[in-house]
Amino acid sequence: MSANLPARHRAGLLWRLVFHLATAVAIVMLTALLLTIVNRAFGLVAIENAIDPAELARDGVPLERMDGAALTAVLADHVSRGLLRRFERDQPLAERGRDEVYNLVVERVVDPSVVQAWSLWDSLFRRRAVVAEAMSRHPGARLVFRSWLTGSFIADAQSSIPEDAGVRAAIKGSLGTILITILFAFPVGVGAAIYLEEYARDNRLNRIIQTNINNLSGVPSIIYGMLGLTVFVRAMEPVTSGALFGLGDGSANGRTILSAGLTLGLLILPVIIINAQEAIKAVPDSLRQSSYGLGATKWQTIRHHVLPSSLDRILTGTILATSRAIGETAPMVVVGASTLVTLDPTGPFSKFTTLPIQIYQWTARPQAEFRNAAAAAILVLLVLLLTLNATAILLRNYHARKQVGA
Amino acid sequence: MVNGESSPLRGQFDLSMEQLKRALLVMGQQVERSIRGSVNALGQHDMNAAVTVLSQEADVNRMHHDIDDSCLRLLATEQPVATDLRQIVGTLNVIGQLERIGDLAVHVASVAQRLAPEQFSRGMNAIMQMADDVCAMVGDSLQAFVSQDAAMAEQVSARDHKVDEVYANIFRDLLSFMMEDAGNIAQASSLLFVAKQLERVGDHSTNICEAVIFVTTGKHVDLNRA
Amino acid sequence: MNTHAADLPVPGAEASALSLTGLNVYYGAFQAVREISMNFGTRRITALIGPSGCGKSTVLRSMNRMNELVPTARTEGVVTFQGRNIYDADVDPVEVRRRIGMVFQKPNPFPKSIYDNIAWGARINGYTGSMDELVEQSLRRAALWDEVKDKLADSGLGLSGGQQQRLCIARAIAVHPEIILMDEPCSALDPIATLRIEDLMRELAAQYTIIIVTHNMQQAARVSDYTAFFMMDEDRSGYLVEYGPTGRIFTNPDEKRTEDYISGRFG
Repeated sequence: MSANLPARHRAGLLWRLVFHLATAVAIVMLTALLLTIVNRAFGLVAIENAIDPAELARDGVPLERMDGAALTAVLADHVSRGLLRRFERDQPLAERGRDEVYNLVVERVVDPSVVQAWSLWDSLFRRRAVVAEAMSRHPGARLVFRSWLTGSFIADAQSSIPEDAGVRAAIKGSLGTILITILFAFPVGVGAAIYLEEYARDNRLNRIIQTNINNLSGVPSIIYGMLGLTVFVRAMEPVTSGALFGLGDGSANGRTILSAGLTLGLLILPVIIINAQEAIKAVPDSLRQSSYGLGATKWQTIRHHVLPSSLDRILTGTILATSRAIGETAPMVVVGASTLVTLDPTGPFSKFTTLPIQIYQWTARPQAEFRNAAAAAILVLLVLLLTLNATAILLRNYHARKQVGA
Repeated sequence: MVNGESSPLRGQFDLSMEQLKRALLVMGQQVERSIRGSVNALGQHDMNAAVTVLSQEADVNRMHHDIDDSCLRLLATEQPVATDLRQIVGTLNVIGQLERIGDLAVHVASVAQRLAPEQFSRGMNAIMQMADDVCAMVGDSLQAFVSQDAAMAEQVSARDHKVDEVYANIFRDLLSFMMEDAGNIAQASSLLFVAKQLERVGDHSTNICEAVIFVTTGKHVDLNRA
Repeated sequence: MNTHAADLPVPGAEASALSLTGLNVYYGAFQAVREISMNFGTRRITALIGPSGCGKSTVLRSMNRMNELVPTARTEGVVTFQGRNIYDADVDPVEVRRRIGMVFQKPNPFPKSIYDNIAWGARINGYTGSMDELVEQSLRRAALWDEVKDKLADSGLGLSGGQQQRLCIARAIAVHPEIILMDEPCSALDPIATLRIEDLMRELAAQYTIIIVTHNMQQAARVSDYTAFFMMDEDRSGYLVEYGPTGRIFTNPDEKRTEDYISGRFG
């Protein structure tokens, strides 16, 4: 009777191994990705100064210990008169603090620049070879360990010099874009889902709408970029550039945060609708019936029972969709994210860039050091994503606890 | 449309009901035998036969208790309704009637025991006739009960009038017998007592017929009055 | 054949709280129930019994227009409640459902506190009196007060099945309906919880007209004053076979089909 029992157990064991393997592959891939990024974001760099700071010592006082006046003198000796005049015009050097002048000297006179960067792996495990290579190729350079991900990397604006480049504008651009995306896609998506699930009758028109929404969720994101370009950037330029409201500087020509946010909103709208529909479907009919049975109207039933009971599922889907949107690059390129924005976005009508665009653009630069900056930016993007998701999940759990009561 | 009897849905319950009917018939036959045996013992002055009837009372009582328990078990476990319910309640009623008929047979048997040495000159033929009638009534009323035949039950109960008439004749006959000679009074009054017992057997049979009417129609009727 | 029961006088010849006249319900092309006519006695418990699919739940749900929630459902005939046909165009189904409440098969408290379960219905219906009083009164009437009075803020879902169903009954009576429809209210409960609900129904019958659909014939026999037996015909449409006082239906039904069903010979 149990002749095939060992065979059945073996089959079960085999499948269990397959599932373990699948999980293991996924974990290995993710780890490899993370390691590759970390490998680039940290490591040894060779720094060469235009002028050795030792040469700048005066009367035996090294640069580091000079006072403001001495530093101003050094600066005056080594930069052009025109540049000096510009500094003076911005703010008289005499009025600036000693440290500020010191930074100016380092930046303009000593002018250290990264001439080569090594990966974290090489820096840790092949240090001798790295040192030898640095000595032979850059005899005048210092070899220091550098984290590309620093406070100033996050706080600084974009720059054409890799070691000065930062992602502040990109972070703000990403946050601004995603805010608009959520403000647009969440209410519209949930509203559409409520209509389709609770109000729409089962007729041909509604079935066509439903089929189209299902298909739209599979359309490549670049198509949405082209849609956004046509509709938001071009056709609705007076609105998206802010000109209609007398806002915005007009320099963006509709290639604004607003356009980008709306485009991403369109992109995730089908996903949000479908997910919200599923969430609403999952609300047991008995809940609606008991509400109607007490003399509740349709809207009271939806507002007090259907939505609260489905909100955590709706939010879960929205979180996932929004995470996708944060990482989108292709439609942003099409809609016209600027590749080099040194100024922070000031509002929905500003020119903008986003983190993925920044990363994409840096990896395409000829200077190898930008690849390190890109790796650091990827880390920032990942942290940003995790933070947003964690916040959303905490909010959702709080809501779920409140909903059940005890 | 749906045939209750052949439906397999309540096979076990239907089986229990069949067993109940069979037990009822067995008890009825036993009671019938007791009546006939007691009257025969009287007629043939057979002391042993009378003792046999007396000893059968315990059997009848045991059957009564067995069927009673079966009915209670079915009521408690099967929650019968409608005809099933009336059938079981009717059975409880019928076994009560049979048990009392058994008691009447015992009364007759003890008279037979006492009168065994005496010779009867009057009334005995009519009593034998009466015994035949009431035994048939008991058997037929039970048959009507198990086959749920209301028409038969009414027809059987109608025969009670004849039994009552025979009893009236016996009464008159034995009364004149007593008036002829005061020495006849002891024997005649005993025979009169026997006839009265047989008359009551007829009444109990009529009660069984009433139970048949109740089980089949759900209506309580009083056939004795008719 | 099926008009036989409809020809009966009002069961018990009492004032009727609700009456059906020529009720037909369709789901799309399928006729679910056919020509139902019957009256329901005021402050009486009426049980609707019959085999699965015989349309008794459909009949129950047509009495407070819950059927309309099924998109394909269509109802014909007249359901008279307090002199009005509840299917008249100017009758608001929302108001009908407030006055003819419903308790469902599976206990389905809202995922809210016990207090809010009771208060919500009253609140949306614009109740302005003391909510605390209403909650206590409703819970007392549903014989649940003593068990939950110290945990009114706890979730209604934390109660046992039987308590949840009594909470649902309390929730239903909190909006002061005149009739309570119960759709197999004990089918998900254990026997003891079932007996408590039945007991409660008998108490509530002093104030409310109760109409209950049940698969449990012992329950119908125990709890109801009147019993209506439904069956389905060859087209699977439900119709009324027999309707009368429960005592008579369960001891001596007129119809062989009723007898066969209640004695378990088919179903």
